[in-house]
Amino acid sequence: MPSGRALLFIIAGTTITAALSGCGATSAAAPAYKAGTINQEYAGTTITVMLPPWGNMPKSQLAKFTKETGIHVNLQILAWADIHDKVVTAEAAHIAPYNVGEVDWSWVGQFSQAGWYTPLNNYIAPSLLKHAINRNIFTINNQLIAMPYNFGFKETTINLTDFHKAGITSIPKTWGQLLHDAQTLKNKGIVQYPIGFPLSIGESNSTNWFALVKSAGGSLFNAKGTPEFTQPTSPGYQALSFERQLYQDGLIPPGVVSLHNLQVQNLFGAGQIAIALTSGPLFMSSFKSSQTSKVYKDDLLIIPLPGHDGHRTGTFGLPEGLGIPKLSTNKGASAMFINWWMQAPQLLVSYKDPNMGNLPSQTTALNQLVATHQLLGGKQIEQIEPTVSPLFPHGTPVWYPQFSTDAATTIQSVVEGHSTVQAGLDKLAGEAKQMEKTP
Amino acid sequence: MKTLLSSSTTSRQRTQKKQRAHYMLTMHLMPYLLVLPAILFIGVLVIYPLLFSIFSSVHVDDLLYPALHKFVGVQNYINVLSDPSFQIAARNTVFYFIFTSLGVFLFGIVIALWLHNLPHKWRGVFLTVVILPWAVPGVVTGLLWSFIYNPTSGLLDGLLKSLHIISQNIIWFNDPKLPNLGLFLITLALLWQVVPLAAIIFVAGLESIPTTIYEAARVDGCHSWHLFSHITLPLLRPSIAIVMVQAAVLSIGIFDQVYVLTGYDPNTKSAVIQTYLYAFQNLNFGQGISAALLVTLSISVVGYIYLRFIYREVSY
Repeated sequence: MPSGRALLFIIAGTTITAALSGCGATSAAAPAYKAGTINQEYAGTTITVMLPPWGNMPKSQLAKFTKETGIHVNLQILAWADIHDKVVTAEAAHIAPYNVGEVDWSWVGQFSQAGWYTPLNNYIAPSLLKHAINRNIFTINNQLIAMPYNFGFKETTINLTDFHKAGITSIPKTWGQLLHDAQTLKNKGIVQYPIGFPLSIGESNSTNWFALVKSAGGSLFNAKGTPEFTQPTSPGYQALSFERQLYQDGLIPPGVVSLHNLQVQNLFGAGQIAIALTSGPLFMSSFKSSQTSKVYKDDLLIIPLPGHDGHRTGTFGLPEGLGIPKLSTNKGASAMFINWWMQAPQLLVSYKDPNMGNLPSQTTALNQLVATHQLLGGKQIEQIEPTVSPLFPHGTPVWYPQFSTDAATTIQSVVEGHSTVQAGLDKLAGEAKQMEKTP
Repeated sequence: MKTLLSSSTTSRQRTQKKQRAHYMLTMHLMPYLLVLPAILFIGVLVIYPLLFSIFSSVHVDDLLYPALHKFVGVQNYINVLSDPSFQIAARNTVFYFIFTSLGVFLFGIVIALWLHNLPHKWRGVFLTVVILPWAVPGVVTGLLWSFIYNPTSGLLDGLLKSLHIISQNIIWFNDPKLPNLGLFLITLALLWQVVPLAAIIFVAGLESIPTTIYEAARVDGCHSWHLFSHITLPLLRPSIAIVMVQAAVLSIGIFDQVYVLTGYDPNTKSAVIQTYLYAFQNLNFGQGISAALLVTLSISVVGYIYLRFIYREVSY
């Protein structure tokens, strides 16, 4: 790392300016685009699309788009976090990071506040808008800043074969049942550590706690933005106490305090844990692949997150979307690309391709998969879908990334016993209030 | 005739004057013309960004609230220095700096002496092997060591278990009994990368010391330790200064290894990680740039001290 990070900001900005100066700059005065149409109006233009590895649409499919529209696609695949940094750097330098690209649900608050993205309300076909799952997560002040391209949510994945080996015949529906099943799996020697979820300082640790809060029917903040997790009777408090109990009872591998989400999912794939507590549908294809999993022959099942005893379970959506920066040129061609991606054939490729595995973000495509029995865990996913809601019903706040890091630090500290649940959550609530006041 | 002569003299004088003026112009201008590309290059890529950074650091420069842009003097610096997160990161960075400096010096010298004393035919081979870690990018180094330190399937736990030294895996970065272990392990990963460069610089320094000096000292009855402490070390001062400055730059500015191995963990995060969080997580560039300039200033001060007190011209 060079000594002056600040210099990097500027140099990176200058470099990106130079590199992207030709990016989509062929049509300064783009013709108006009629939402949802696929036509030859923009033939000959090139758009830059930037996505994480699971957005790597096969070249053959992109060639079909080029054939249909005459628009060439320069697909750039970057690590998820790197895309965020690239967007921030480019926007700080007042240049477009891409024509179309990744917008994660957790970036929505900041990117919307900064006003970096084009509202897509009039760029997307009404039928696609109607059938888009989790569209509200990308909508702030009635402006849709990205169109979801996958249906991400938190669920629990269990190895039913291990459950049967331990003599467990029912699926855990509550935290109490989950605890009991985990103890049975451990006591019968099926797996040393039955449950896995990440506890390192990172997004996946905090979202795990958020998911448990949702599964207990709770929320983190009330409508006024006041933290709701400091009372011992609150779902937030109880969820953290539950995590602490699982860790201290030796039901989760102690090493998860240093592991991120993918590494924990790999433990499930390696058969070292039988319950991936807060997994996502994206991982199922890798669990069922002989190349990436040792349990691919086992009976693996997606189930709703076990809820807190006496509460209706729920979960929250963490989809990813395609957005168009305001600074991007070729907005018409970019919008056409997003409309094309949202069509069932593309969404099905995006699900079936082993390198992608994105659950379709359109109900039409999802229903098609369920109807043709092509969706792994289709019944369960159908059952979970109505319980998916945004983590922040009033829109992701701008301070979410900082809150998420602070929450992860608190969770790790509490789970490891460096702090009590009450002290940890009081401190976190204080930090959240401070963040909300700024600036 | 006189007129003709005087006219020819005047013309010659004029030509000479012109030539002299051209010569003087060339003599005076040429050096500037020759360094102009370098000045432009440094101006555009170093001076301008630096001045722009200083400008940003004394303003509210928040990407989320661009309308709030205003001059605030040193307020960003005060905010950064009084932020407990930055203070923790600074403390960790001091740890990285001290232990990397010590490690680089000790291991660098030892490896350099070993390489220097190898038979000539082997030296080239081992030099190539030793320099390899230096060629590995920081992120890759971090990933490599994350496989070693992995608490569930790591090489280190596996090795210690197979040697029956431990019975259960150790969680290297979260051992409550050893709170600074994480800092030490990251320092080790950094040393693995930096020591080779230090060794190569020391080897170059050792090879420039004339053997006659050692021979004369031996004749005077000097033992190995005296040779090392009274000849080798003093004559290596230029190399030591360069190596120590390198160690300071890489340890105070450490980012990649920390980011890959422990992310934003407060127990191990460095000042540059905190800078990254200000700029890329909170989108507060004013604060981020202030923190970055504080890091740059620290490196500059340490570098100056090393060069002022360690560096000495050596001529034989």
